[in-house]
Amino acid sequence: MTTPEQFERDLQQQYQHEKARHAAPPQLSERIMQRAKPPVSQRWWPAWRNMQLALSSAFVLVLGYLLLLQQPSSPLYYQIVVTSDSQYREVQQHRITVQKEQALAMLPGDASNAYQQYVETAQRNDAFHTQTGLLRQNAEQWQISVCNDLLLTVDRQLLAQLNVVPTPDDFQLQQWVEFVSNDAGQLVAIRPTSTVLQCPQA
Amino acid sequence: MALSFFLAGWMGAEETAEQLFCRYQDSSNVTYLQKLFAMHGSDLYHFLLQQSDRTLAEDISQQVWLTLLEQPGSFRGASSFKTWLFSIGRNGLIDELRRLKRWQPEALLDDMYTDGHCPEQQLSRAKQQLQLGKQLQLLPFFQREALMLQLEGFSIAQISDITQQPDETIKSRLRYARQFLQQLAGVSDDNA
Repeated sequence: MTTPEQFERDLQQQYQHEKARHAAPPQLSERIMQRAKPPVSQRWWPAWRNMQLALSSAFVLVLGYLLLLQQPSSPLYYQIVVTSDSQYREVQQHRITVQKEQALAMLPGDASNAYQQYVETAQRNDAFHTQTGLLRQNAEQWQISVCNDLLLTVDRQLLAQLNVVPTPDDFQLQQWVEFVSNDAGQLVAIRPTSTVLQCPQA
Repeated sequence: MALSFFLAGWMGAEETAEQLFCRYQDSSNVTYLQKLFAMHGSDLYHFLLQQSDRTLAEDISQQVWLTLLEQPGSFRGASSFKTWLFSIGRNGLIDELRRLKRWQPEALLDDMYTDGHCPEQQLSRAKQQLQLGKQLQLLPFFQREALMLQLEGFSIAQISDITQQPDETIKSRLRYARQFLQQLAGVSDDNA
């Protein structure tokens, strides 16, 4: 008498045996594969599709690069923040900003123009004001102090826009300089000087 | 899934039917289709053969594979590839049997009981003479279908998916099919 377990084993075994006896005829597979083969005229399609993909990708990359180059940069503005502290009567922070509302004038063209104007008219125009001060450099900015009257800080970004003769790298960490401001208080030029400022004793 | 797909390819493991189908779809390379056919072609053919005859089994098999070629989007990955394949094959077979007016899902067993012999005599003869393939033919269509799908390795849920019938119906069909075959095999009632 067969047990249910034996029956299940036999059933599975006989099923596999039956299946092996009735495999799909080879001609069936051949017919299907024949239908699956693309016509000769279409065999180049995968290669063409890949080439299109590569060309499209390259086009998008070039287009993106060109758009990036043409993207207008945000205009920069010259900003002077005036405060005072216990040591200096006036402290001026000169820096570049993108916030138009708090700024005085646009850079960089204005600085060059102002300097040119100064060079041409310096001798007979009192719109420009020249002062002598002691320059001290640190990583972020220059500080120019005029006795206890004025401390002027200039950030490095603004320095790059100004006419500093010689270049900012040639200045010593501490030295006397002459700086020129226009009537709006903006720095127009900074240059070394041999003049030493004599400050009145406090 | 993506990771297992990658690892399988990287480690040279055997590709699944779903992976082969994706590769065939992407590349139209017939090699992948041949592998797919080698994997499941005979399973489907045998299933259809047990439910019909050689000519119909070949025709429906071919139709199923051509459906795959002509409408590759019809396999969306909602079930396993094999489940999808059998589902399409099963529906195609029933449609064709209906078209040929051969759709009589309960007829085969009834024929056995109405050919002039009593059921006991038929059962006795079947026990002595018939192999599984022929024993299966004594089952009604739906019972045979459920049993063959289970022997093919499908779960109750997958059979339910293929036949679009509730789980309980499938279980019931399997139970009746087994009872019948156990009778033929002389399985002990005490253990059954």
